[in-house]
Amino acid sequence: MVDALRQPRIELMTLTEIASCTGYVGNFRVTLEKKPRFVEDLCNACRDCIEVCPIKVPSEFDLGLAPRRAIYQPFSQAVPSTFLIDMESCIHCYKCVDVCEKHAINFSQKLEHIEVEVGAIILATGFDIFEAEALSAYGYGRYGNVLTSMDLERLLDPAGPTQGEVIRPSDFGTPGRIAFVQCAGSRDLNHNEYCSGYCCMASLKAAIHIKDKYPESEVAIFYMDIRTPSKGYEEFFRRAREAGVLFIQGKPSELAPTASGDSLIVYTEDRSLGRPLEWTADLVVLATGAVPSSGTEELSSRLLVSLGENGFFREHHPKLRPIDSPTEGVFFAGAACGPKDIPYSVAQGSAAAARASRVLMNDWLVIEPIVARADSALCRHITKKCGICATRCPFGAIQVEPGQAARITPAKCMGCGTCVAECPTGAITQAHFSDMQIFTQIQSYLSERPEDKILAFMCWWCSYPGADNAGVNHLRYAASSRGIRVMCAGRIKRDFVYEAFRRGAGMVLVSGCHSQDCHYLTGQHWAERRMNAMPLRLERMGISPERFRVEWISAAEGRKYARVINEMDDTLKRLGRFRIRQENEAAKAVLDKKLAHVPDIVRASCERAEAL
Amino acid sequence: MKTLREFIAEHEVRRRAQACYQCGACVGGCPVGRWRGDFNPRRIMEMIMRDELEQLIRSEVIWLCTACFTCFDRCPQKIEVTELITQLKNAAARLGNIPEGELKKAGVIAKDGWAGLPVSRTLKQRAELHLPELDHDGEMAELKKLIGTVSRVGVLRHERSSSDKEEQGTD
Repeated sequence: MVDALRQPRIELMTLTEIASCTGYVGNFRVTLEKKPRFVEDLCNACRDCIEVCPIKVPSEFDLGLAPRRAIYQPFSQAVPSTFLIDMESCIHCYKCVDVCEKHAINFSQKLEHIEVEVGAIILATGFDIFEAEALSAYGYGRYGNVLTSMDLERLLDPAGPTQGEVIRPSDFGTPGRIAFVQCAGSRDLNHNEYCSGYCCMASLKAAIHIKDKYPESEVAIFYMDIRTPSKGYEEFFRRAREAGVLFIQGKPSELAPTASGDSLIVYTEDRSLGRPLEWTADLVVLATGAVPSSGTEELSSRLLVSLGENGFFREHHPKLRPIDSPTEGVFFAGAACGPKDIPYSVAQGSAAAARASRVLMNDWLVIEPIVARADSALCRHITKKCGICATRCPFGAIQVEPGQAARITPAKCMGCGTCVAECPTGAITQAHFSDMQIFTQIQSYLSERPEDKILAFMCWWCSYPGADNAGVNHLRYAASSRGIRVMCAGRIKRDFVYEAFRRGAGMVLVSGCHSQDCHYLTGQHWAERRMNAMPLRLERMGISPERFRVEWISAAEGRKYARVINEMDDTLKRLGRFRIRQENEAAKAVLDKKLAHVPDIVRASCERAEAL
Repeated sequence: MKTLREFIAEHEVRRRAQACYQCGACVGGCPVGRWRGDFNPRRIMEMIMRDELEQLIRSEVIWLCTACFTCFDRCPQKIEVTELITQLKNAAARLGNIPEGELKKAGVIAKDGWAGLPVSRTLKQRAELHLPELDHDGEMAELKKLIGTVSRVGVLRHERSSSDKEEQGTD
């Protein structure tokens, strides 16, 4: 942080929050809210004001284990070193003003709004510590001698409230027996389902530190699994064992005070021995995990960057684009998108800087030419409240304002086509994957003996490469399949399926990525929702529902693709040409009616192809 | 009559135990396990997952569970431990596998409405604590009604005797 402050090309704005943000990659316009410090930069951190300030409140940095004044520095390495006044506790006695030789104190500072134009945004909003009060069986806050690992960290700090002495809060004595309880609130469906990842190492470090400082003490770590996957971590685990730290496998069920009241009994199972264990500890440390930092949700709505299931920011792709947000030009560093330890956070910070510089270095942004476009003349939102497209776009590329047609920012559009398929008036088209092109492909594939064909709609990233995988591996599958490739299953309209049956197709397959792998985050979800009722709709028209199938096939599942096609081919043969033709004939009138809204230009294109 | 496998499959006992990651939080909190080392809910979950169902049904250990639900309350994976043990008891009962002691207990409850009649010391303590006098007959009438509608005691008796008969070869 100090380096960042000294670097002339970095402008550090502390006590500042994002109020709003408009624009898109390369052209963000961000309104910042700079909160007043009430101390000017002239401050040289001489601490004279602290001596005279009469107010004492619990220090946030020391987690309430030590007091601070109303005028204060959050902690001694804080950047900038300029002090600040906490107006909620200040009583306006102005003693600090009198004593300040630099005349740095300024009570008239106001909240400022600053507007900046930036090309890229990096979110490094960190994480908060899980609030251990929620674990009622462990009694944090109720039993004085139960601490969290963060509390212990403050005690172990040589510059902390106890100058590095570990004490029992109940009697300020040195604890002889210390228990660490791992996974406090993590890997727990009642609290946070995920593993926070760093707590194992944090407890190992603290345990070694305590054993080093107090060799007589007995330290036990109650764990489910000790996770040490990174470089040097497993060696560190061995060091802890060599230092004499006791490892007991078993998740403590509850803590209860002993009869004397000062110590605590850890009720657990010793899994290695397969029997219940009651371990008396003078001090219990809960290894609390990470939760999204408090402003994450608000920031997500201000920046239009979506959140994942756990409340952390969601990456564009968990494996392939872990630094990028779904919103082009917004990147992540550190724990903003999930708990991380220090080395990983540092690596991600460098990566995010490199990703951002890729945007900043160029005058132009090259995008894929497959973006969606909205025809303002057809958009329903002008007259009625619609806005479906905006809710379907996972990238925040579509803006809808009352009375105006939907506006798509090409630089933000990733080209999945979900909005195109969901638009009720057909106002949106996707370049290179227009309805006209897809209808024409359907026509071409089904121009001859359509009842013998399986028409497969496949997504670009998973199911088409899945089919390719089947070919590369020389797997045998029925030759009756014909594939139409779209960017995402989200692009596959119901109309495509209807059109295929109207043209007499034998079978129709809709395929895409598995839901957790969708390259466009939510495209698969919308496709699945859209296709759920399809078998019923087809059945009502007299088309056997087994002639329509939805399968999620990954790029590695060539075998599955071949199996699905073969099964469909079997169904095709079982039903027989005659019955298929009969069904299609019977459904034709309904299908014609369902597809009556298809524009003439699309029909004309199909006719031209037919003529060829 | 359903076989053990059918009963277990019907109540999805295995599926509902499968997410258990064997942390032992159920054991640490179990008030029975504290006194009876052979009662270990984690191990029961493990045995369900490993499909050692016959062994579980035959053992008397499952009958030690008092259904206090502490294990379910503490389980970080929301496994319905108590519920699954109850299903095991049900399966054992259906197969006529109820320990003699449990059956006796059930018989006493069916007869007296209480698991054990209050001794004079209890009555004295109640008087000291100014608790109302026990109305055994009145409560009994209500309990009999309850037992008649919900209790399995009658069914247990019947199944027990019919399985005994089957063993003897008479129908």
